[in-house]
Amino acid sequence: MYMPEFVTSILLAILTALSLVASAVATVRLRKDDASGILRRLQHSLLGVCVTGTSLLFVYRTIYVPPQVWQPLGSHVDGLLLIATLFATAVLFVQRATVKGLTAFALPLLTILLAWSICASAWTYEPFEIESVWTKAHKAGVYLGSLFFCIAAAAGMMYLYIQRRLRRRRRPGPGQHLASLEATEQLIIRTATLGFALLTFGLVCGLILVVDTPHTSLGPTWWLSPKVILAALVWLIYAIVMNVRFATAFRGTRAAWLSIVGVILIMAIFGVVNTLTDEEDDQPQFVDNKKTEVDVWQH
Amino acid sequence: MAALSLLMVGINHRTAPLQLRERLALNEQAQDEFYRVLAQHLGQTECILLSTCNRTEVYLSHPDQSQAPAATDSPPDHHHDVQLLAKLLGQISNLDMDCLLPAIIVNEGEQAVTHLFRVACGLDSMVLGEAQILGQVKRAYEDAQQRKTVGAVLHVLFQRAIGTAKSVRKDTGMDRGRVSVGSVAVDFVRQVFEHFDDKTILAIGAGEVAKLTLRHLSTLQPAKLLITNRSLSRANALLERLALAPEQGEVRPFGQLNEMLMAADVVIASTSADQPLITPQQIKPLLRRRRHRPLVIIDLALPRNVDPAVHSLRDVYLYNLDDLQSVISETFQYREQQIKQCTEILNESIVRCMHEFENRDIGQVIRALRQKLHALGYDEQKRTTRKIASANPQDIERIIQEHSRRLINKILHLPLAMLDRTNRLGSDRSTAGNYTRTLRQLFGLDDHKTKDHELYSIKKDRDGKHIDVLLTPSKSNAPTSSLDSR
Repeated sequence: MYMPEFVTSILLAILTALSLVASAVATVRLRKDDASGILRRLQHSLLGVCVTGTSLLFVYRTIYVPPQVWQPLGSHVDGLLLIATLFATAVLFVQRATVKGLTAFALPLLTILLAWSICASAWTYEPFEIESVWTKAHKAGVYLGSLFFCIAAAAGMMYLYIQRRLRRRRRPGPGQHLASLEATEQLIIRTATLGFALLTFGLVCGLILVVDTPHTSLGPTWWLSPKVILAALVWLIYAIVMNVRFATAFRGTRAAWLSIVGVILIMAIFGVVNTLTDEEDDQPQFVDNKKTEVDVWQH
Repeated sequence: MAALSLLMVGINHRTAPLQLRERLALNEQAQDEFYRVLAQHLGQTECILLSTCNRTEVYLSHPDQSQAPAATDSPPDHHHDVQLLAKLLGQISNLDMDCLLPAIIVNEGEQAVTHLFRVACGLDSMVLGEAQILGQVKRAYEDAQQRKTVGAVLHVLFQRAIGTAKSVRKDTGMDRGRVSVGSVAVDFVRQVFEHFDDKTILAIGAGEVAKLTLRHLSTLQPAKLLITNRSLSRANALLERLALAPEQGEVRPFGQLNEMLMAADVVIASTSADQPLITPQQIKPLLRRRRHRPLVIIDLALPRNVDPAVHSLRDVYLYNLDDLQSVISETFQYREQQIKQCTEILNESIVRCMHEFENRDIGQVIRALRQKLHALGYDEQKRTTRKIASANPQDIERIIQEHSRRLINKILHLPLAMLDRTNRLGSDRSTAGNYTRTLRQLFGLDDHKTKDHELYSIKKDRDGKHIDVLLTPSKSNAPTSSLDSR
């Protein structure tokens, strides 16, 4: 058994379990009064362990995966791990700075990211071909853009939760104190704007890459491929979300829903298109979908 | 051990009606007068006056009574102090003693300690668990410190009470939640908006309810406060009472309601209109023109000023009096659930505080005992020196023996007489037994049998009088002379 792959999967499984427990604790905290502060401390400790754990795992992969295999965004698992680490850290920072209670909504998303990365590590390991500068820029833009969209989605979930509570005329904060609708909406708009800029950059680089490739594996009608259509849809969604100040019909609840739908579509692009499609024609950037880390290392 | 010399005299919302409490709520000037007159009557007595809208209480401790070891465990008699304080409070508040005396409560010693701890924790407050009382207790303590009327007893008492109140609030969350309509309204508004420096608050109606709620909302420092009312003079009067900056507040005619609803982010409705003033049909066209900015409406009127269907409109959040009251009820329910835990914390702290007082007493007792014995020794030394000066050399040994015997008799007189009296009375066997055990422990009498060098023994003569018999350090242990009967 190839150790880095095995250790990565095991550690990811542990981190996912911890993140799941933290999500459960956070959900209880939202509903129940935590006068003693035990749940708060437990949630923060678990999140701290998750942030530290993902960071250490990232470092571990940097050191132990052979250089010809590992690069920061060299595979889907590394990309997801990077997003998970940055996402958890950013959420901690944002919660402390402005939007109280965000971690409760970010933790389920972190759990999904980590669970997804187990899948990407153990079953559908995909080292990318990142020889070209355009590919590197494309990957960096898309992955970092996704990071901001994840934060926007967490804020979107929080917005919907607070609004639901206000609609039901529930007393403010039986348990955890949450930020206001206004602050949450501001976070959605800001992160959507940053993510949109990075996604646009990533998509433009990807476009150049496809156009420059003489025999594009997306086929002559590449603009009709699911990947390109979904990416365009995501781009459009975030273009709306970042402009809700002007497109006021989309503000509030609709912007929150759009930010969640956007992340689901990105996951669909990562998962359905990149991971599950094994036709080489659809995957110009990937070496071989069914290769494992061991295969690549031995090669 | 001396009983704790601590007295609390006062009135509170449980014993006195509002009319009496407002007369006894002493302002700064009256407090000055109180402390001044009290100092004239009681001199160096420790004193702290706690005067709020719901209670006026005086905490008093006599340093001399606390320091002196009392002959018995009975508490000091505070009757005179109670009379004096009641009279003083009556004089300063121009109250008839017949009105005041039935409302007066008196607590002494541990009861007074318990009372203050409960007050500081908000357990004795009209609004259970309210937080303001802790600040008021602190201010009363600091004020008395500045006046130099706080000594060792009240310092310890108030420090411990304040510390306990803080930990009770921290551990139980007793002060959590809102208990007034205005503060709950603020909480709901803060769930929607983060910043208020660009927000406009509109008050429809200018009554007392509007005033109280706007007082709370104005703490958010909104950019603009609009007031509208059918009577503009009342609206102007309310604006004046709120004492806002000129550019911050504005009164507008009731006819401009739609324009004001366009500008407002928060609306407080509290008129006595019997028909809804705000309806969904009225609001719906405004929402698009408002660019879907959220609108929070607090309807404090009965009958309601806002049609409940408004709440179903997108970006509009409507809360009525029932919604706010239910939050207040939840707060009280929560606080009542915490009483048991609060009481447990409180009881532990009271026991610790009482131990502190007792330990402090032990030190004082030791000091007093040493002083007393040194005084006895000094008196006997003077007497013996005088005798030796005029005595023959062969009498000196006898004089020294007499000196030792007299000194020991004087030292032992009071404790042994009390032991004997207690034993003879036979009414309190346990006390006599306690004394005996204490003496055995204190003087190590269980450690050894009577020895040759023990010079004196207490015996009784035929008449039942106590006599001290000198035992010489002889081998036979036989008494050689009877020196003196007491």
